[in-house]
Amino acid sequence: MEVIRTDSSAHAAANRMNHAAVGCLVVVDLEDRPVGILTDRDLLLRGVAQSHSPHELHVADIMTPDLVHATPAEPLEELLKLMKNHGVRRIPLVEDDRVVGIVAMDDILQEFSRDLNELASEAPLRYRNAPSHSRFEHVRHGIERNLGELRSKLEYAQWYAKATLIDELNELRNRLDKETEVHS
Amino acid sequence: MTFPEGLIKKPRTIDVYTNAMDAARTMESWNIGSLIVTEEQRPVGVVTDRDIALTVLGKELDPEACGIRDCMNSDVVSLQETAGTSEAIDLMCRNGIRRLPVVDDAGRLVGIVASDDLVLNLAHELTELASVIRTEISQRSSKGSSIPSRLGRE
Repeated sequence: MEVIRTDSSAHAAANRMNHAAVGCLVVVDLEDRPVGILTDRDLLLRGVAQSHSPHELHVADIMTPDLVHATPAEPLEELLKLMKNHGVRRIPLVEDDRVVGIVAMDDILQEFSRDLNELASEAPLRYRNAPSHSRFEHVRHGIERNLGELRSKLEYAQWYAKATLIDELNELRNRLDKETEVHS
Repeated sequence: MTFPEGLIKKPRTIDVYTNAMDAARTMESWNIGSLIVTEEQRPVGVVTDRDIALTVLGKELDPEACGIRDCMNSDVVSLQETAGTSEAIDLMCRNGIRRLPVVDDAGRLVGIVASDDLVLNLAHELTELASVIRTEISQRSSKGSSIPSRLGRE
């Protein structure tokens, strides 16, 4: 997580994003309280597109105020809902007026994929004595094949495509979860 | 193997002699984050919102004086229009890119294919996979399997 102050220059923000290889900075005021977020897109739209000398701008001029945030205790499903409702893909985690971390939609998706993958690999053991074992094997292979493809594409997907995928993965995970409970 | 219908889209392009401010405004008005840079209909570069923002602001350039050539990535990886989805995915993964310009035999730009669309296509396939599970379960419960299935009662 990268943090920048409201009074820093747009030039400093661009260099920070470049060197840290991030697309977003959490903006804090002079007392280190989180007050906004600044993305590389903000730099383009409110800096380059609108000003002849954008490097003279300050972070406070171009950031997005009204920070959408959550506490570190928030469950992943709730964070995902917040992202979808506000059309954002990163949520800073705030505790006692201090930013303590940031969660990206990519992180949630990875978490879900990992769960699903574990379930898929456990399935043959759990269903060993089930009568329709071979059918589940078929389904399991299907999931593994899809997950393999999925992983290679994830990092290149935009947030709305990810939101759709997360829903699908969650649905699959819940179904497998219930089946696993029944058979174990 | 060829592309499912609708996966190759009309590309958004700018001329190689455009300046950074006009390119930024073009991205703003179309609400997009990347453009293919062309010269005489051939793709010569790809430029993203991040490329323009970090070049202009990082180097303290005048966005009207800065040409798009100075911001763009000129290593263009293109896909032949006769290729299919697996070749597109392979090229995207090997080069770490999300969009591929599609060109004809003469190297002229004819379209673009984006990983987002490929991912949505995959999401559709996953939905079908979920329905396979649903069918499996309902078939088992209708055969009177001794194993109770909660999903079978949906």
